[in-house]
Amino acid sequence: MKTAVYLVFLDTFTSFMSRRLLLLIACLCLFLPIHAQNETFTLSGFLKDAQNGEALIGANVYVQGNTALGATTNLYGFYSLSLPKGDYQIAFSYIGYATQVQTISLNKDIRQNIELSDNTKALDEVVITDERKDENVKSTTMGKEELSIDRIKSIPALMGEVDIIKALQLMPGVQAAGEGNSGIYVRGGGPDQNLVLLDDAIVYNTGHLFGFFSVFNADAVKNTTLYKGAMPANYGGRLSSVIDIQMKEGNNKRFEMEGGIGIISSRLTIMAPFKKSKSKKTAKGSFLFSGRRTYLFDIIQPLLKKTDFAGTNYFFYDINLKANYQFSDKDRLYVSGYFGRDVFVYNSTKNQTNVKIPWGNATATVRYNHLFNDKLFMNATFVFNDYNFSFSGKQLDFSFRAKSGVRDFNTKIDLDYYLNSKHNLKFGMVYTHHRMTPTQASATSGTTDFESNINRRYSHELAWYASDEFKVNEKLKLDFGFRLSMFQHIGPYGKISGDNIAGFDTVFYKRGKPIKTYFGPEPRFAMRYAFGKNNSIKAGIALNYQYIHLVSSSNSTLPTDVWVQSSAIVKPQMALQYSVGYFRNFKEDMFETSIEVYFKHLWNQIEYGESYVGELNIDPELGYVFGKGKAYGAEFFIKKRTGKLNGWIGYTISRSDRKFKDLNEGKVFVAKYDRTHDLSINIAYNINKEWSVGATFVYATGNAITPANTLSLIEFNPMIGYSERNSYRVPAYHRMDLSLTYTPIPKRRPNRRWHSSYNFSIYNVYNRKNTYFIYNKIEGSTLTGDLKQTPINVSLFPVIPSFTWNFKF
Amino acid sequence: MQLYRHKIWTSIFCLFLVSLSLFLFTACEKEIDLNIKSNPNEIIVEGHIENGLPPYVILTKSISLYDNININNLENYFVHGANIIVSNGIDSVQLVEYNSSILQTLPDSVVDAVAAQFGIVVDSSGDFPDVSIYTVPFTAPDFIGEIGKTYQLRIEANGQILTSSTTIPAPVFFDSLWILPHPNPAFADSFFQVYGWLQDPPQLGNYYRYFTKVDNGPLLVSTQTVFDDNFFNGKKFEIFIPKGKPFGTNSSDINFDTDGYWDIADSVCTIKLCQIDKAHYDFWRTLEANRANIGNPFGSFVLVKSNIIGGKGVWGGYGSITGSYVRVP
Repeated sequence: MKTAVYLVFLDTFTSFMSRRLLLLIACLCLFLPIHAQNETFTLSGFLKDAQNGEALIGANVYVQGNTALGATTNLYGFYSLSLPKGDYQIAFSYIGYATQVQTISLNKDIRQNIELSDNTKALDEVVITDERKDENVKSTTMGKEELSIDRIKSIPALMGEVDIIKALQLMPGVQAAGEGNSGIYVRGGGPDQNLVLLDDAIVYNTGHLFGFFSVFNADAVKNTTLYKGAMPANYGGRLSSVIDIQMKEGNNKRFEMEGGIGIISSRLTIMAPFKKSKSKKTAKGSFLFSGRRTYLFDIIQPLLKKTDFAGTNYFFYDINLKANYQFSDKDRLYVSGYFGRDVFVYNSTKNQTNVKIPWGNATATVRYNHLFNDKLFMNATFVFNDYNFSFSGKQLDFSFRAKSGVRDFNTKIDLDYYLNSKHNLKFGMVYTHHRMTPTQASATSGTTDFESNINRRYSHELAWYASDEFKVNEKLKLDFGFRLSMFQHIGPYGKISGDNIAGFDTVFYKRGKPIKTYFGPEPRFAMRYAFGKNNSIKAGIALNYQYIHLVSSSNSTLPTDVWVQSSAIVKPQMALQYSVGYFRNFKEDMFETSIEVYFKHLWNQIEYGESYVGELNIDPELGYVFGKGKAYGAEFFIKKRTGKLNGWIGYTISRSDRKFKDLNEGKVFVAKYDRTHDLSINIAYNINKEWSVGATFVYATGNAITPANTLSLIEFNPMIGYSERNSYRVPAYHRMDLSLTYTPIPKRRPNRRWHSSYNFSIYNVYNRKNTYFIYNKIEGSTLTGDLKQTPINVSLFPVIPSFTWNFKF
Repeated sequence: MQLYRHKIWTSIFCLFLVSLSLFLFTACEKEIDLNIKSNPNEIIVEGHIENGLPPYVILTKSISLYDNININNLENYFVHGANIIVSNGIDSVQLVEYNSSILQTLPDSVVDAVAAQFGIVVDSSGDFPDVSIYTVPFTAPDFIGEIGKTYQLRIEANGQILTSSTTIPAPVFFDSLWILPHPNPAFADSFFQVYGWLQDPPQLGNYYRYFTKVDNGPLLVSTQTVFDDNFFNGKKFEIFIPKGKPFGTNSSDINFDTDGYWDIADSVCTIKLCQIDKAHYDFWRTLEANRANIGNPFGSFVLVKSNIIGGKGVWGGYGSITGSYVRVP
């Protein structure tokens, strides 16, 4: 019955695909019943950090005593609140900052820019307060997780490398891709189903060194938000989640420097204002520069110098840059960029071999904010991003080169229209031009050249969206959204058709010529019903389309994995998610609790065929197989927000399975993203102003793997047969980490600007030997008669202590 | 072949990163007890037909992964009493099962070809391990593979019926063969390399498999035995020809410095280059990937793509040409 309902629902939308639909949506958004009110005025402005002028994202502005009358700042710190004429006590509050309350007589439109002070500085006692006290109960958003950078920094980290993505793994519904891995699986979806944005630029590969470290340098990051439920209509293009990361803007008040030295890398971040006018405390603009580099292998270079491997090295680095300038109270420009590379060099004089493999991301974002009036805010964005993997090797007169990557140009317009205190509209459009480079190889052997001729692929991706956050009354809040996406594979593209019996033929499409077009109507709906003092029920439904895919044959994501776009063969992935949750706060919002249940249908999921072997010059899409999936689960969350002891416990019970005609003989199998149980506990305890400790414990059901089970001999060498797909579970994963942070307060000059802090952390405290992979060790041979296979469990990280020194100036 | 060394490099890269992580994080290995259900006793076909040679089929059973199998305990491994018919569309022949004791009575060329299936040479003593093989009866010695023909296979064994079909494509051989010393001077005194000029036919869709042989030794294969012309269709190019390894060589015993290089004592370097059809090629390609992924943490499993309907294994035609480089010491 349920199946029938959503099929009808889907059908309606797909058959409705036309301008009519757009019109309907526009009408829905613009002509929803709007209650006429006598004389309303608008209070609007920007919320900023008092210390450095950073915009505060997602801060709350609300009428004291009536939280239903409130607004939230957008990504640029702008808020707009329309209220009937009158006198109000308006509260301005933000994560980790002291709340300000101002009395405002609203008898005309008022522009009020507010600067909030960091709690830790404003108050004598170290208290971490996250978000608006009852935010989790009062917002419509479900499956949204926000973590402040300060809180992330208090989590014990592998080798002392603070990692935003690994912090998100501690949230319910979010699973780590593997031991020490910064890849994530959200609610049973694959790693390519997460939209990772850094200042609006898509980051295609989020990991360094096999994903052991994420590419995000925490020192350069201001804010991280994860949406895993019904994502707002302004996001799209991925099925499972959005991880929206905003870089710091710089400091428009004074020069600031921070950094750290750890066991594998060092970091330095500089923030400063542009030239200040003498009369003002605040400059019109500021900039940030942040860099990080590893040096483990640089240290051993002298040792390698005299060996055959001189010059062999591995390192990675990240550079973040950002600048902003305020032209007027209504116009502001942001320019930001990221550049990161992993570089591997292998030299062997003995074999006269030389290999160089660099890979990494580059992004550049230009954003222009304009305030048309007190109610209409616009942001125009232009983004360039690029992910590149290249390989070059040379041995004697033979050389080999290969490369792959993605390059996008993206532009979008987002408009926030704060219609009145009941309606907050958002609409906009986004266009992306993709260029996908599959693995292209070329080789030179002596005087002969070889070139693979797999074509680059080009496409347009376009989406329009509109949403309305509608506060019906104090109890009921509705969030309607609709996104219409379009994807078009375009020329130039040449395709070989036929086979070696009928003969081959090449079809060629000219530049810009449409080859295949897809449309995706994506309705989104969320609601909240509040009752009692601190209770609410929320529900959401969302349909998402995904047009570009990463199909990986291995369990972790590798730099060689290639993003592919939809085509005539590869159809867009699709997901429909329903979720319901109950939220409740206790003890004056000291404790937050929630239970969320979700059910997700997945269509056009992609995997490699069971006999797939990658080959140069053969389009990998010919090796794909397609199927559908289901993911469902329940997430339990309890968080203590305040006090010296704070932290959370998240537990998820879930299942994610797939059914492919061409895999596992057509039978249902559990996805590799499936974890039955997943428990995360994170605790921070601030002993006093100088000392604090942190602890993390995680437990998860072991990965599902496909074990080998039979042996036969062909030419007296083994041929291995396998059990049913993902039919074996490796032992459960669990681990505990601890950290101790000492931030001395200088006794003589407690107010001096130089601050040092020392972090000592231990990863995997009780040295749990978690399974990294299992392989069959083969000894002996069939000829000598002593062939023996033994399954071996390999575990990676033993107990690892690390030490990091951080400073701030 | 040299073109495929990039795969070795990719492996070096993976090996490096793995060893880097293992070095950094001092990975720990320990034996575990996997309690895995297995369903052995599937019929595995290894059958071939080649220009100028009669068809032969080896029928075996799969065994549980951790069972021991080797050349000394083969008796229960072979499938006996099968009814096998090979047909070229006009003529057909029923194959006869031979065990090691009567194999010696067969013509030398057949014995050599059979021996090659087991990677051994039958010397004058005629000692054969305890194997079983199906081939043409003495009454039909003229049923031999012909270039361009398609051969059907039908097997009835243990109550199951298995069928397949393969072709013998027109063969191609190197224009010339030559040798070079080992690139590493440290090994140049004891090893050398063999190269050939190969002209790939103009039509896309050529699939190659090659064997090597030293003097009067057995025909052997290297780790990577097949390649196609996707990357070099219609081109003429030089190609490195690695020396084959004895059958049953454990991949962990491979010495990367000398693997594929020919020994200075090798005098007649013989290469058999075969053209095979796509389904036959897919079998070897997936089998080689299946073997390469044993124990590779980053590669996922690969199921071998068989061209046998109703069973596993291969029925493959070879269109072969054999040539030698004779080295004057």
